[in-house]
Amino acid sequence: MDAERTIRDHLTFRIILAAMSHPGKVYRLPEFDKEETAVVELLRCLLDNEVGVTVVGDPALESDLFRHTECRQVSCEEADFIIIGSLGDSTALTGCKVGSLEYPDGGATILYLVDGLSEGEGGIVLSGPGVDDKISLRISGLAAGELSRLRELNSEFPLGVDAMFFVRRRNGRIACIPRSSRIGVN
Amino acid sequence: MPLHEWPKRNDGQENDLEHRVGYPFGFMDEGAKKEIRRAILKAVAIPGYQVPYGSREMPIARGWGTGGLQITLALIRPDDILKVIDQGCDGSVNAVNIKKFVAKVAGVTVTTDTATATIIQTRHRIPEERMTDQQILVLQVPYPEALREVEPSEMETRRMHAEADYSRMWLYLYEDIVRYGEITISYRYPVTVNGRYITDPSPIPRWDVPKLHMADTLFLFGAGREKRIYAIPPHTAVVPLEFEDHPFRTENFVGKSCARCGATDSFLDEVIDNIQGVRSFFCSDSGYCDKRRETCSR
Repeated sequence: MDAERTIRDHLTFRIILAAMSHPGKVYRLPEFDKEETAVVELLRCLLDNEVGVTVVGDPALESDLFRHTECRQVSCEEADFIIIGSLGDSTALTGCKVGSLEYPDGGATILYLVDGLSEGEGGIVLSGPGVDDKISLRISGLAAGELSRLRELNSEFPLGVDAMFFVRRRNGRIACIPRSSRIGVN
Repeated sequence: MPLHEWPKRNDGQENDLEHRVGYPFGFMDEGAKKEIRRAILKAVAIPGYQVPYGSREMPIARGWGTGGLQITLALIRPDDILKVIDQGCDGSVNAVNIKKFVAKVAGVTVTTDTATATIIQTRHRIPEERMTDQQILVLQVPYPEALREVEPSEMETRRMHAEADYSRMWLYLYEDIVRYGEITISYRYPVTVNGRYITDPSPIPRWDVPKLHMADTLFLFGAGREKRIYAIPPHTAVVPLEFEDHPFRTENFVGKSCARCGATDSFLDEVIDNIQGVRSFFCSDSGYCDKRRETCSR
């Protein structure tokens, strides 16, 4: 692997880590080469052949991802990463992995591809670890009912899923809602 | 952004990437880094839970900070400024070796100043200066399991964590009080993270435990020999185990001050002069001590 790609993965991961440890904060990612490959470039710092992935509602991304990251294509019930495209129907999420009480880290990570992310009033209100009191996050382009589904999956901490929201652009943005966050509505 | 732009730091200086020829950036293979990164993300999402991972061979022996080192290497950026401390000291052999190694494989600049560092890897201390939300503290952990003292079986401690069955830990503390009149754990003081998991804060003194509570900084814990990664995110409740009639207390340095810089607000090491038998105290955090001496002499 060339040095440039390795270093880019390091930069990307640090931003994902910052987003995961500060739920609800929107972070800018380093500029990607192309809008189409942005998701692949984002996840390349995490995915290899040990990871099972499902893509819902985006066939083009599906083939790209499996070609470039060597991850395995599995069913939604077995997936470690679930990527939900903007057209994706996420009812499949109902059966996804939430981990076991002994190994809650077995819960899936869900990447939602959304249209826009911004901080500020009027959105969902998050609190919990990583959040100083409360934070408000606005997500546009997320299917209705998605957040209540997330809340349901995460209702039995430490079981649950960790969500990342990604705006698929060359200047991509990312925000996260780990399972430890409490999701409220304004 | 092209490659040569990456080493540029916030302070306008630039780290020297040329420096690191001969090794891939971050030393480890990509598969190892990716696994560690996935473990770190899960650790952050489940504060205080120990995520198992496949600890890799490092050029230093297990038990000498490999867990911390692997975390540092998996997340280091070319524009980072690294500080490594060992029992608070920037100059000890272990700290210097790790610092030199990371500087060699990632081209980063090293520092002894807590305020300018972006990543601090540490063994057994948390720096005295309050860290910011832009910084990450990586702690080296010898024994990640807080319940190991009361239960030798991994299967059993895992069940205890799963069911939040911590009665034996409480009993252990109670028996300590019955025997000695107070809880005698001096370091590795067990804490409850986010109201759920009892967690080992690594062998930091009691003095440092309150610094974990509602901090601005992300704390990552790496146990290389025991193959565990766990985390305490910023703004997370970290409560030391205590009883109503036996509240948690930190070490008491009332009436004592650092013989070098005069500090009365830092964790002090007791040093006894072998020849004259004189007892004196010094700051355990050498970076803090140096900084105080500099500002005083100005």
